[in-house]
Amino acid sequence: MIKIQVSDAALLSAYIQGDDKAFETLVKRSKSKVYTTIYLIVKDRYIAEDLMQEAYMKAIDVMKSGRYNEEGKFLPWILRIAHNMAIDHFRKEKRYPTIVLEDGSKVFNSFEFAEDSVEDMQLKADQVANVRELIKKLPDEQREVLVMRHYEDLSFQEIADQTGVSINTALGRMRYALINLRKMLNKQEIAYDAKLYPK
Amino acid sequence: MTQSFTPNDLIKNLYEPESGFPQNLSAEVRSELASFQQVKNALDQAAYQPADRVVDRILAYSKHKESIQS
Repeated sequence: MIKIQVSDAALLSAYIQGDDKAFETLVKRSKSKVYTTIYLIVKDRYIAEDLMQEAYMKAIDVMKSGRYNEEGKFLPWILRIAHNMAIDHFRKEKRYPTIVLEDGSKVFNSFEFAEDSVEDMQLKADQVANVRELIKKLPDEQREVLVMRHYEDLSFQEIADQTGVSINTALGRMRYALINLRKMLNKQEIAYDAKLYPK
Repeated sequence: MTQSFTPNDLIKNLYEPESGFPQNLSAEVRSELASFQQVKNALDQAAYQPADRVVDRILAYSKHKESIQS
């Protein structure tokens, strides 16, 4: 059976005309990227949840008041709103983010692991938590580009424009971010193997 | 044959593939691309998920707005 996915533009149009289910689908499609974008900036789960809620509420207000003018590109638009809200949060607070480390239970509570065994879930949660911690260890400039490109779906040109650097600098920062993550992931894998199979 | 692209071009192609990108890559470059793709996959899996209650509140706000307007 061929499953045809309705485009974001069609869902948006349906929502503006009163189809609430269409909005539910848009939220389901975008929620992880929106939340991740905010969380990696504010690094506090509860603040990220509040800001995420505010971002979608702002989007709803704009759409329902007939002021929406983004040619059906919902994801880049909601991500831009979310990003700006997270940045504004800092400006209001006038402080840099504190790193809040999540304990295991929080990681578990925030994930959906359908059809996985308990062991698989544990392993997956550990791996996911690891990668998240490694992202936090990246130098700020590399983490910024990585979040903007990978989670916010901005093009390298858009990142260059927004951060005031050349496209080559943005690409170079992304490259080093990926190389650093690869190194850290490999190091962990070696340490894990050595623990499992001691000589 | 000389491959005329830079390490940055590899990254660009990883995220923004273009039809003009060379297809006959050396084994070394292919392996480099594959390792970046693995990191990319790990990043995908590491995306955070908001609590369901937050999504419920957003949807409730949307319904509330709908009822005010209709």
